[in-house]
Amino acid sequence: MNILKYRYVPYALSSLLILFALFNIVRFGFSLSTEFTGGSELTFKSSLSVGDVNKNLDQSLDYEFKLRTQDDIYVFTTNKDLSENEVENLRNILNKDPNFVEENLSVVKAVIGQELIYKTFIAVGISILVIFVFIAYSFKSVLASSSAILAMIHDTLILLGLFAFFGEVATAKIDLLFVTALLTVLSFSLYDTIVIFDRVRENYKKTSGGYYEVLNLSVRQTMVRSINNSITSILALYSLALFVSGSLFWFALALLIGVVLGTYSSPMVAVPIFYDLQRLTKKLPKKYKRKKPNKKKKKKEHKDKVVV
Amino acid sequence: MFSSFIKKSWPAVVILSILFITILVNIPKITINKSYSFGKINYIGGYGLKFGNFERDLSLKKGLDISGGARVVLSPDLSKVDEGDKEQALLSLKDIIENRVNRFGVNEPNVLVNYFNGQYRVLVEIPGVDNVDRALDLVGKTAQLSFGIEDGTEEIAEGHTIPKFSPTDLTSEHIEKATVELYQGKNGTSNEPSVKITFNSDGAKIFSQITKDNTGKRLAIYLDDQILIAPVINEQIVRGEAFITGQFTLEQAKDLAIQINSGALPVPVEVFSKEQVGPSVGEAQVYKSVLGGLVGLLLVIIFMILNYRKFGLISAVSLMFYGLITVSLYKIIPITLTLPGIAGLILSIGMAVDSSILIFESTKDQMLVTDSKSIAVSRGFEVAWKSIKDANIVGLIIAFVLFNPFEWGFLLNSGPVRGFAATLGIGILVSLFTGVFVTKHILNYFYRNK
Repeated sequence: MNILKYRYVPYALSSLLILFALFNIVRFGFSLSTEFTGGSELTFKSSLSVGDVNKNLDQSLDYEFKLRTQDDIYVFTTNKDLSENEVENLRNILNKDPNFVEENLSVVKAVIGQELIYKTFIAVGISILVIFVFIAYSFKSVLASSSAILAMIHDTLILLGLFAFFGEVATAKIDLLFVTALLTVLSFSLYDTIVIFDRVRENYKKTSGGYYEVLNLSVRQTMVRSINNSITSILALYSLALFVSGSLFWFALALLIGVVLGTYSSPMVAVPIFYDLQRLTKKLPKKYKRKKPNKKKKKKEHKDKVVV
Repeated sequence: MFSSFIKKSWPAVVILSILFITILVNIPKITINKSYSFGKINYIGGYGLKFGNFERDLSLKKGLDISGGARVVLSPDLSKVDEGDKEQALLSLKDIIENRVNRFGVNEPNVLVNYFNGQYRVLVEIPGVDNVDRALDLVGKTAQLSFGIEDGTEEIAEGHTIPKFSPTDLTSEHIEKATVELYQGKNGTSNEPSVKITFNSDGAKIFSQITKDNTGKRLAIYLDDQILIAPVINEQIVRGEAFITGQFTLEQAKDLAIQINSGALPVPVEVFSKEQVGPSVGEAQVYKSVLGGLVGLLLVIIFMILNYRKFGLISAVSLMFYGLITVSLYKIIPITLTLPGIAGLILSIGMAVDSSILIFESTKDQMLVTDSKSIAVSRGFEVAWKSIKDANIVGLIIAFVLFNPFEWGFLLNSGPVRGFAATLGIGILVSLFTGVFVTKHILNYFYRNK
């Protein structure tokens, strides 16, 4: 298997996915949960059809609202923080259906969620910075950490785009649970890339081949482990997604997509980017180049040792 | 002889003793009530921990999103507090709110003080409470008791006069405790819920003096500057007890007693937001997600055994070990289990399984080049350890920054993302132990002479 020779295939696929993601984000935006926007959200069960519930509400409410549904679960949202009376009024309207069951009501002001999001962004930024330095130090290559981080951004961006889409066509929402899913996917993506890069580092020491061969070899060697590892994660998450519903379902789905993306992006995106960055930087002034003579010396030493 | 035995078998001793402890921590309480020749056994399991001040009942704390409950955000008014005293005021505010919820007798509350954009806020999460307004009344009232004595009258409208009250020296600090009692009335005619206030010795003296000097006048009892009751003093009261009666329900009387007993809030608070999280959603979903998680785990184990045979069994054992240790740590630390926390757990389980896969794959590689299986195992470990180390360090960095153990102001200091970071961090550390240490020694044991 020669990943690098055919790297334009994943490049094309990833470009398409990212374009799709950006399109969705720009076109639909994110449907943020009330945790972030402030407002009120009522989750309930009803035996009436969406149209009927919508009509009932539309006739009696003087503020704007959104009604979404999945199976028999309805989610009523408005970006108004409702008063006691308004909540009572809302319940009375919905109570016309004898099968109405209230599941969850939240009335939230936006500031708390915005604070959380703001601080989470800062925390993620700092984590990425520290991880960038760590990978650069551990692999003695800024290019390695750049490509690992780029692959991670690729994964999170596509996931965000998909959820902008799911938010439009279904009940997916960007809530705190999704934020944690995003963090999980981000970690998983980096984790996977590092395992491959680690193999690259070992092989680079052991073999005399150039980056082209070493990268291809490392991807081949880690492929089984990579696939087995994602199969276990996919098995666990798929069964979780099958059982749960509502926000937990979207959570499991986000993780599931994240695992698939992470497994795909490490060999197919991070490695080719690393190779191309390596190629590009060779045209740059001398100080950006890796110290070649030192490497060659080391390579020879290891070549003798490798025979077991 | 003995020292070489210790040298060889200490990993087994460590592993087995940890296994024993974690099983003890996780045994549910089972009632037995049977007599044996050596004595009677009432129950086994459900053990708690107690060393001096350290006490744990070893139950799993469930977060608001799992057990349901009320979430209230209060914004304290610190405008009248000096800059230097703010921290102290916030700390005692937190303590008193915690104290109130604890006395309320529900699950342990989660009270956090937050600072953002120049504003302090207090987040109060009370699991298991299904009435957010009552919770709000309980935690949100300053509950400052004060006493006033009738001092002339004032005219509020033409022809209408009400008694005027001047403050006395008696304050909340003079109260020893408040209890709920059914007030019998003078002739035993009524039977209404009331709060009995017992003064401490200083308070009793002042109260006695006041009631002596002002017999025939009205004594007003204020709660947060509102008159609760203003009865006429009939005679000097030397017992140091006062009843607050009124149109209390039993519930209201209880809440008032809790508020008085836990002390007044040091600063007034305003309700910023309130939210009721439905317990039913949480419960059903949690049951399903546990079921889903178990099915998933079973599938993972089956996959591992089919794929790696004997190795797969070993990883199943270390995975079970992983589960026991993690849950024990959740109980001992304790970690409040929330849905994002479960996400962190899932990720760390994935990393634990992956550690095993990395080790098995590289051991298999090594077996191709060497005949000795024990050498293959140790070399396979060496190779796998490098990737495991780097990958897990990255996970730990993320967990560290998100958890923010030093409480840096610009990072998160509360909320669900922190729960995620906590379980992720613990999970990674435990998975390093079970996925690497335990797996390695089981493998070594099987291949010790090969």
